[in-house]
Amino acid sequence: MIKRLEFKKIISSPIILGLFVLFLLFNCFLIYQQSNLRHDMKSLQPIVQETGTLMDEEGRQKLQTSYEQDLNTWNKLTQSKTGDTYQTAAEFYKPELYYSLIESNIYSKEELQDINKLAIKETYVNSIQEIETKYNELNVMENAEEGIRLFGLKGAAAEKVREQYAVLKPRVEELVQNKEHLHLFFHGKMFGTHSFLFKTLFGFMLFQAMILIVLFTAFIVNYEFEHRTALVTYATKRGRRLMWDKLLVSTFASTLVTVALLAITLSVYFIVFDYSGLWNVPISTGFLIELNKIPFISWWNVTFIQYLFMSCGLVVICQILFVLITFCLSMLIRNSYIVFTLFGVIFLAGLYMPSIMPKDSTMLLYTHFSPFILVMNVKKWWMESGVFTTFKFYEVITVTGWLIALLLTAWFFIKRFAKENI
Amino acid sequence: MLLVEDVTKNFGQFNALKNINLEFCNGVYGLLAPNGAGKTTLIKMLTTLLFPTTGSIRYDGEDIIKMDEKYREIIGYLPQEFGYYKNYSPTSYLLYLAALKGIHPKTAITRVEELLKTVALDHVANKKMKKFSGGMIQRVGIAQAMLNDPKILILDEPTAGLDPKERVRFRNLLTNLARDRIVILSTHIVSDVESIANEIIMIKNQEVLYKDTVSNICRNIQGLVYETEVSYEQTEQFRTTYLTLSEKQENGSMYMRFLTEDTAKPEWKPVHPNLEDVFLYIYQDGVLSDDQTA
Repeated sequence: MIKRLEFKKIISSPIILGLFVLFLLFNCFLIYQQSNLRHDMKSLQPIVQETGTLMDEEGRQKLQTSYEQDLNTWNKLTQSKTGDTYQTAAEFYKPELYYSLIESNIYSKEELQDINKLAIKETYVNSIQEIETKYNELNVMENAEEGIRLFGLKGAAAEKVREQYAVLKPRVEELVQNKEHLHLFFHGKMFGTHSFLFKTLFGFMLFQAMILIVLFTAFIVNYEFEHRTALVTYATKRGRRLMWDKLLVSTFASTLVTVALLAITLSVYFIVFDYSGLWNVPISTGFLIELNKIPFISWWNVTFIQYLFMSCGLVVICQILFVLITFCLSMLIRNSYIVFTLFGVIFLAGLYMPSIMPKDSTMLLYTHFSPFILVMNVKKWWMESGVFTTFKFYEVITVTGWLIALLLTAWFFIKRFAKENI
Repeated sequence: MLLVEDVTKNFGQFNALKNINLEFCNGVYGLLAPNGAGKTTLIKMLTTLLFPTTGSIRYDGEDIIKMDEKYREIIGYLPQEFGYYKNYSPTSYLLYLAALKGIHPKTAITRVEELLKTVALDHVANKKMKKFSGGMIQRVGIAQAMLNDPKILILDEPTAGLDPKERVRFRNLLTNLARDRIVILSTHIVSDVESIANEIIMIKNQEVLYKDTVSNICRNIQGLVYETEVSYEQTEQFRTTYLTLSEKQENGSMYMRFLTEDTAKPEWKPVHPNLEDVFLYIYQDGVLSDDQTA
């Protein structure tokens, strides 16, 4: 009953509700802006249905045959219309030919769609060899050295980075052996789906949930003090144990808000962008590689759907950490606006902290084990993520460590509050 | 029985109360002192909102801090500044507080209806409190203090904002309630407690000065209170010579009620002292300083 009434305080706040709706609309707008890619992305599904996702010898052969058949069909059509034939679909798009063909309206809309699909299929065909070569030549130790040189790491810090990349090395071999890198997926260089979904959308959702959570946690913890009802409330039977209720309700509400934001936004995303047939593609597939040409090497062989759920789970846990940080701040400062500002300052300080560490100290790496840095790099969760955070259990260690520390701090503040003069 | 034993309360270097010893049985206790004398500090300690620096408060022999929720379950408290939620109705606010007081939701609904009738707010039971007058809010406060049918009812300045009719009704209510419970009523308005308090507690210089019946306390200034008629021209000088307790203009002169230890003059009419006379006499320094401040 008490928890229900505390929860009611959150949901009856017009600011919280208003922001929640606003954030959802903003996310839908982001998806809408990207939605022009959906038709081109959809070209992959018929290919997958025909060949499967794994581009091993057999899959590759099937794809090659299918591509050649489509190219022949296209050439027959072009020969009958213009007398031209093409070696590749890309040739059709050469500017000197393409624009005159379009202007003369020789090809119907459907025929132009067909060549577009063929060109996309051609990109997938051509990428396979490139991916295979890249992974066969991939040397993560070289990547580590490059990172060490780039960031000027020395001594113990550089040694620790080498140590971690040495742990990653067998995983790369395993990945290649499992042919995880050879699974068809939306082409990263064409569509950049991984960045859009896990950097842009997840990034926004993380910050949106964080803003809501910090606001309502500070709001609910200081509610009685700000409304001058503390004397009545804390003299009741429940008394100062009410703080436990507030902590539990904030945690529950944070989970609810985060899950709702994720569920609604991701539902819209997956309605707009069809991922059918691709849910079980390994997240380490080489097709995901984007324009920066950096491969995605997950620490474990996980599929896209597993990765999605793991990331959603981590987002929820990160928000619980933010609840706890805000709760502890609110127990110290009885003003929700100051708490909100201070949280922002702490967040920025957490991001800034590593930059003041000596370049030869392992502390430089360990200061990256903070939720503030963790949430800035969702795109690279559970995988090789650069010299500072490539630890096999980086995410797990960060959230577990902070969760334990913050729970103990919150417990200490509640105990202290029980003996405080009001 | 509620027992306050050698209680001292310091806030840093500031000593708010020292060596307070009090005993409360069923009945109405008027805690009478000017603002800032430490009434609220004592009341907050009785409600476990503040903790004594030294000494202890016991209920039926058990330390109230150790009793924790068992103690708070039997108290009803109306603070001096009664906060409320503007967008709640009295019913929803009282139901919320009933939940905090551990009252079963079904029992709470009946109890809230009953209490809103008692404090004459049943006609606005479901109206938002943002449009309520100060007196209506104070009546919501009184109702919430009685929600759990407390064995100890502690009211800090409960009549603030109530009109004379409401005050009378409130006093009658307290008299009824005090038959089987402790009612502690803190106020600086003498008339609130004079007629209904079984005992008056007066605090001065952080210590309990009196804890006695109204008549016994008044006896302390027996034979020192007079009334006389003074011309307008002499008023100012009279005020500086004697402690005036009240003044009234009538038939072109001033009727002064005053207190003095001087030998009585023939034109002075000795009168029976009341509690307000004692209050003004005891806290005359405070009264003077208040006047000077004003």
